[in-house]
Amino acid sequence: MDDFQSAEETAFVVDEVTNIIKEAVEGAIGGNGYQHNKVNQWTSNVVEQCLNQLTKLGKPFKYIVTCVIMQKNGAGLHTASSCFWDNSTDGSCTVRWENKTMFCIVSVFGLAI
Amino acid sequence: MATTGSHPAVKLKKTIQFPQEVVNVRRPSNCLSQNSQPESSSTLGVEAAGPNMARRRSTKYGGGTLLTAAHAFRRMTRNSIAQEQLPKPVVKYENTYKLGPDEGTEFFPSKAKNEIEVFLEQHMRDVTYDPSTAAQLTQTIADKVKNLTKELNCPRYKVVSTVVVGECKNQGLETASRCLWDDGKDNFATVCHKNKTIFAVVTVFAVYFE
Repeated sequence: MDDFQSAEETAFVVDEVTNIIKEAVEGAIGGNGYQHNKVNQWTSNVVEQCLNQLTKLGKPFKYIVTCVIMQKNGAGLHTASSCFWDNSTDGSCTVRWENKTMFCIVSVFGLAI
Repeated sequence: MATTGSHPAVKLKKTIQFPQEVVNVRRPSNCLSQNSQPESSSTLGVEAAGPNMARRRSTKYGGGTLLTAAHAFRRMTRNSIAQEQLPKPVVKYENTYKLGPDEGTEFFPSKAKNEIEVFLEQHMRDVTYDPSTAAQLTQTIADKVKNLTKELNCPRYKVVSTVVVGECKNQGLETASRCLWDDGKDNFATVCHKNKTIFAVVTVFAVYFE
């Protein structure tokens, strides 16, 4: 007997994932200013926290989480992504966050298995 | 329970989708569906699930959401609805029982890295940072890198390419990524390219589709 799940439980829900990302970013770098020696740890914390929460959703997805943290000094930054996947089952979500001293851009890609 | 084999990271579950009509089609070999447009008939035989099937299934597996979705679907089909408003059937392919890529069709990160390095070298040689064109440049690089990866003869792989392009102004920048996937089959390649005014960090992920 196969297990069946309703459509809501196996789709990539962008709102849910957005909340997870926001909480992870706030938790990891919430009130901090840019510090070069800590950035490495911050990016790792953000992605690990995101991935842990995504795993807890229990959906049949493979996840790719990327995080970019850049110091604010007037320089321009652009990000883009291009994906070859199944539009009906896969999805992505990008969250931009900033404070006075840095930008943080987190992207989550969910690929159905 | 029929499964394709134990998955190290995620438990495999079949899906049943309401209220869309489900059409089961045998999957052609080496096929990766890019969109969900189904073929409604096939020479290998088609089993279509209509409203009656939905009703039987909903009582068998009786969740509240399944029952109400089935009711909604039946109500919809009883009234006359214009063809465009009906939900498009979602194709569910039969199992191929393939657990891994065939010989010679694996994704090799080293090959991808070489291709991307050559491409970036060529593309970014005389480029200076310009805010009005940088966005377009970034998108172009992402698309081209994805196409390059597709040409590497790995037919059952889903490809995600991400590009970060920025102005060089002595600022600090850090990128990180983590993935929840099958370590033996999925991989990634990353390339950094820099000149005096502009830098680009390109990462391409290839994920095997079971």
